[in-house]
Amino acid sequence: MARSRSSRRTRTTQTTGRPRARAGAARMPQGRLGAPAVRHRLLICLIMAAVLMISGRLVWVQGLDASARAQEAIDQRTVTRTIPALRGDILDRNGTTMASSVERYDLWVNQLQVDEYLQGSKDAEVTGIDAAAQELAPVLGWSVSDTKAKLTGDRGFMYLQKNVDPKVRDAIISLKIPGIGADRVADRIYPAGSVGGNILGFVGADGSALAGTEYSFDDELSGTDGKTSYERGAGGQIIPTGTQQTTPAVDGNDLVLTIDRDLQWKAQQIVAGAVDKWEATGGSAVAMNARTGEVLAMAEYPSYDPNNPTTEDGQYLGNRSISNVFEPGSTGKLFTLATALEEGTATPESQYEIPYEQYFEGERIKDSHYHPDQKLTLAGVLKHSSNVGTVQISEKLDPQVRYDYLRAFGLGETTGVQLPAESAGIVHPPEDWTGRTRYTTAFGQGYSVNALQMVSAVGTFANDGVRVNPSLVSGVRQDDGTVRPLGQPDSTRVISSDTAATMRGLMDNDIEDGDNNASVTGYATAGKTGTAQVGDDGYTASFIGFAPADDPEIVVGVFVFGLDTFISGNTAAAPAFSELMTFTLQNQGIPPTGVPGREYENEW
Amino acid sequence: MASTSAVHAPAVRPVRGPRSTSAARPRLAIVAAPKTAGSSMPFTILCTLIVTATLAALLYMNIQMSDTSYEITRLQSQSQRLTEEKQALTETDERLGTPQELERQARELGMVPVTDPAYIDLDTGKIIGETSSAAQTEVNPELAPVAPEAAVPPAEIYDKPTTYHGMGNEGV
Repeated sequence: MARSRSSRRTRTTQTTGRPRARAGAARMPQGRLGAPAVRHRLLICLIMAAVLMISGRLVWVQGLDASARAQEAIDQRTVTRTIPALRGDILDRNGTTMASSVERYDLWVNQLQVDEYLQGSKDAEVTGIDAAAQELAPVLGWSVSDTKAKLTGDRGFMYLQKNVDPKVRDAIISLKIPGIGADRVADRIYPAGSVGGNILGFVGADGSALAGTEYSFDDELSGTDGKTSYERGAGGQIIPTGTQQTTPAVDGNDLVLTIDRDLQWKAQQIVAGAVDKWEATGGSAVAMNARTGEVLAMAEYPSYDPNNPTTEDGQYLGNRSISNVFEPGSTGKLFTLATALEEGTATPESQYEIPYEQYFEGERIKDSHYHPDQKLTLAGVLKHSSNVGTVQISEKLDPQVRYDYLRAFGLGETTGVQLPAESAGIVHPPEDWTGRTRYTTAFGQGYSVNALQMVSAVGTFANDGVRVNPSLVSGVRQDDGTVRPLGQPDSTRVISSDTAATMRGLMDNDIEDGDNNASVTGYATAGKTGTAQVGDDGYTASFIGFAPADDPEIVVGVFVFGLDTFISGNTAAAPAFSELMTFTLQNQGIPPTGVPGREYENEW
Repeated sequence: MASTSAVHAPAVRPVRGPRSTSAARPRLAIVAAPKTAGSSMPFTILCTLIVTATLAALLYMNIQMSDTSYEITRLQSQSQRLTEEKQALTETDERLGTPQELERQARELGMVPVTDPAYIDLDTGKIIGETSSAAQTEVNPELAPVAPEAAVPPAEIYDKPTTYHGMGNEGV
């Protein structure tokens, strides 16, 4: 229709002879006119198809597939991070930190990327691994060649150095070397090193408790990790409208020990000195509060640094004071005497005729050094540490009674001090006391004990006849600073108050004021030496005592193991006892009572 | 009206036009001009304002939220840095406070362990125990004996060579 109309118009123009201006239109090419209707339809169809596609997609994405897609996006920007719970500190009795957790970083390298360092830089003379090594070496304290060797290779992940300080990590990260990063880790440090290392124990590289108090009280010390998840923007910032979920970490509790760190250090020095001087293989020293059973120091030598427990091969990582059992020797005579006094078969004045050696049912018992026949009182038997005299005293007692008392003093059972690997020692029942054993048990041979047991048992005399189980942990520190005790130590009455007082007197009589290896200037001191042979491992020398003798506050035991030859407790252990007791009394602020030491008639 | 005009049709023909005109003219009455709806402009402006204000508030809040979010991130990293700083100081404090270190420093100052302390009874004012001035105070500190005291070495964490040579402010 359009065409016919236009042709008609053209004809009209020609017939009427209108001006030329119109004639141009007549010459317009036929193709320019096209077919708009068809094109419109085509275009509309195309647009419709496109719109349909897009809206279809829209419906799909927004309607049908929406939640899955949204979840995918959320998952992409959501990060979940563990909030590590801090392990509780271990403190000494005064609140000094003995073990604490700190933040450290593990530095790692992706060796494949390091060579990109400074490659884009125009003014860098050295690039790649060489440049990275030069920059890193001084920060890590390594040589450039070592550093380069560490950076070269084709490993995608390798630890450069573990447990570096945050400052070192910051310095390294700021170098912006490709392929070098750091992970935050918690590390356990023991500021005073080997001071108390045997008590504290240590944790492994993965943070698991492996020894000592760390191990025994892991439940209290370790907390519960928390976690947080949030949506993260490109810059690492938290997207405020995103969902956030945080489960806070519950940090571990702080454990308070009964140990005094200064005293522990001094005790370790003293034991080390005694062991070195007498060329022994090892030593232990225990200082204990006589009334509460609180262990103030439990030292040993050699010991280890829990910061680095595995540096030396074959080094002892245990606790000799509780795991090493030995025959107590002469210190065991105290229990025989206490039994006799308590059972009424003897008094301090009882009289004995003591030859150098004597046969009991064919068993030869002799004293440690030759002496002509002596007339000694019970006090004298203890003072001269006569084996023969002690057996004479014990023969008035039934073996079963003696056994019961030994057990009542806590021998043959663990002290309950809650450290791993405690050995109970061995006290055979009386029916097994065959041959010599029946007699040797009277003077501390034929049964075995550990150092802490012995100190605790002798502490019974100091604590008026009541034995208190030793304790190492006073409790858990609460947020308000108070200490929640973890149970009370058991206490048992073993002997009467009178017998205990007599025993204190006898032990005081044993140590002359100011004129003995074990005496403590200004204080009346009570104690007993001990020496015993341990199979082929040489001799054990010991000294256990307490002060002030009339009103004891502190019990101290010093044990020197593995002496090559017979060196008496008086020589090897007593000087160390004196030094440790002197320091403990000062450290605990215990004044002299001013009461002079008691004397008994030793001979008759 | 149609039937009336049919009856009188012949007679009134000439005047039909004017008459019918006059008859059909609607009775006009002056009515008040309908009140104009007034300009729609204020309403439009109001709507625009509301929309704009909403958008602006939304934008502002979003800016605030992301600002705060960045602020939180910044403060968190600051907190982390301060925690690390505190930790470093605590470690230094602990290292200087260990018995080994105190003993070493005391000996360097020429101090000696006390051997025979005396006590004062506050109730009676009596002095308990005998004491004497400590020996060795005049001795050159360099010569003070430290032999057995070396038995308990310092913690191995402090034995490492100083590995850090930066200024301490990197990565801030």
